Amino acid sequence: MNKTVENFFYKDKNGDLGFIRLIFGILGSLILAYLTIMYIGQFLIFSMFENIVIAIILLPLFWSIYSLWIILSITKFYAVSKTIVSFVILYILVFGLK
Amino acid sequence: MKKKLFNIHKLIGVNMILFFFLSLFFGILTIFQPYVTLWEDSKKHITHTNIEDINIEQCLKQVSKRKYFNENGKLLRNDIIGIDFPLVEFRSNNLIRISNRANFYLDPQSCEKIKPKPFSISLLFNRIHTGAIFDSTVVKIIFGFMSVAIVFLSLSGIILIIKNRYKNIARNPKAYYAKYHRLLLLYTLPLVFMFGLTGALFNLGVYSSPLITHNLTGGKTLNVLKVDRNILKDPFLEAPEQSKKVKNLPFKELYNKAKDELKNTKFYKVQLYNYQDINAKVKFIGYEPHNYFISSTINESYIILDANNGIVLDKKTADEGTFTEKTFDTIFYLHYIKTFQDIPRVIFGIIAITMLIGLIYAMALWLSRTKEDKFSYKVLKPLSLSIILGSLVSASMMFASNWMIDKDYNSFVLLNNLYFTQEVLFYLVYIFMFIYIFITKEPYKIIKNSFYISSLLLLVAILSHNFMSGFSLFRTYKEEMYEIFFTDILLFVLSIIFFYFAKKLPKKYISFR
Repeated sequence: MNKTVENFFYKDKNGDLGFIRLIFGILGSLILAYLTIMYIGQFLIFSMFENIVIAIILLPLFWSIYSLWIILSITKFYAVSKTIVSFVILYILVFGLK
Repeated sequence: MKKKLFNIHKLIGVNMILFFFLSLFFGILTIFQPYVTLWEDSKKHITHTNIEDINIEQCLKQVSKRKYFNENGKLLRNDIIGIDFPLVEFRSNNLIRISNRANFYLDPQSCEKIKPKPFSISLLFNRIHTGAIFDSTVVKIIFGFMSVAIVFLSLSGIILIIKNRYKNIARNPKAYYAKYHRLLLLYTLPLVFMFGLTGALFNLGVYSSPLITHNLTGGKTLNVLKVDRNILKDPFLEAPEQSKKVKNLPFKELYNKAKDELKNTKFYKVQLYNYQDINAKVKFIGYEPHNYFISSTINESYIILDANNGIVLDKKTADEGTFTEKTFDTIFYLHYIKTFQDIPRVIFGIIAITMLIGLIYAMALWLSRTKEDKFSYKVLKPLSLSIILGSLVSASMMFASNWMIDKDYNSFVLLNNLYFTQEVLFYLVYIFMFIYIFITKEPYKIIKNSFYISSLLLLVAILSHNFMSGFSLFRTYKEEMYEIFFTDILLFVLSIIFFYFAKKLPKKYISFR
């Protein structure tokens, strides 16, 4: 138990990526990027179709940036918390507090 | 952290590199599609015709004497006609195509209806480039992910270079591969990045859009294609019913009028409405060759004329396009490269070949660094070799077989399915290469032999084109078919380069076994 906690909270010394980082870095960042483009899409002022296509063009860029940001966090705890906290913020921004 | 960044770069790269290779290799062949498509078909061996010299009235008789029905069984009107002009760089075609009839091609000189070759190798290359050849949604999505991975790899590559400050010294093969993988792809990075972004839109766009469409339209629809579009589509104008027959102005006069109104525009398409009627209208559509980036495929400049008296009803230049049209054209300009002339196209092709070499070095770097008893090494070594060399040999095989196969044996029927001989040959060569690599297991010998084979095949391609088609090098030069002449020359040069490369290939660079 102690070892798991240590593993989770303290800095990784080796270069291995690990399951948590990969899952949160690839799938978590996809969700974050998608919420971001939804948020951006609400502010665009062109016709509906143009708004959607411009937002979709930005998806790969945000996906990559978020996944780099998450994978390069110092501990696994940071990787998870970055994903969850930004998810909550973006969710509130996009859908509001209903 | 540097180690982690390097590991994720390696992991994503190794998983996606072979898809990227396929896309890039056949993408380079697609850059040269206009020339390949002229070279491969004897029906397209015709001298370049100016649009002014085409007798459109004569050609339109071919349309009006046939009856066509649409999918719903309704008779198509013969006075609404879309014509694609024979503009080689834009349409990859030097025949007149009637765009609202299926498979309707006309010779621009004699105005006869002709049937081009049923199987086109340039189209095959294009289909592999987009991943359409696998004909499945899963592969399409994988190609889309590949594009996203390219964006990711570009970003992580930049950060790696900034953080590590590499020294760029090539003492041994491994360092040589690392150096040139880094440098070649760093200098072409803007293009790689752009290919990643636009490629993701083409393949993932429709599949990734339902949620955002649902959100932005307020829950009306999930399908982005059902939203009202004002861009990325090619609508025909509204045309009233026929009322009174009159004789229109001659087409040449209308064309010259349109040219006068839009001086900097090159027209690639014309649409005729209510042809030879009192309400007749003509719409000329084109692009502006000197307006780089913002005038290409989407932001079209057009002019609508009254066909009876030549009055301008409506016109738009590229500068008057909306902000999104301009943005989209800027983004797609370098991916489609449709409005490129010959020399920029060749330069672009050379840049793309640099990217390809950087990519092959990345694969070689991975192969020479990984431990040989690893499972991934055992799988990826034969697979990568057979995809890289198989693409080369089978693409050369396509050129070689194009003129060797007799017209009657172009396709055959097996178990009620129609197969094209060349396409089957393409797959057979791939499988043959895989088996050969699996048995031989000596990369140096395999690479050497496959370059010899493809050099030989390209030589066969030139010779067979010269002797079988009846269009020798001298004749194509004399009759001013420069595209075909230079394709022959280029194939010959490539053949010599491959032969030289196979002969001089240093053994120490292929250290992995």
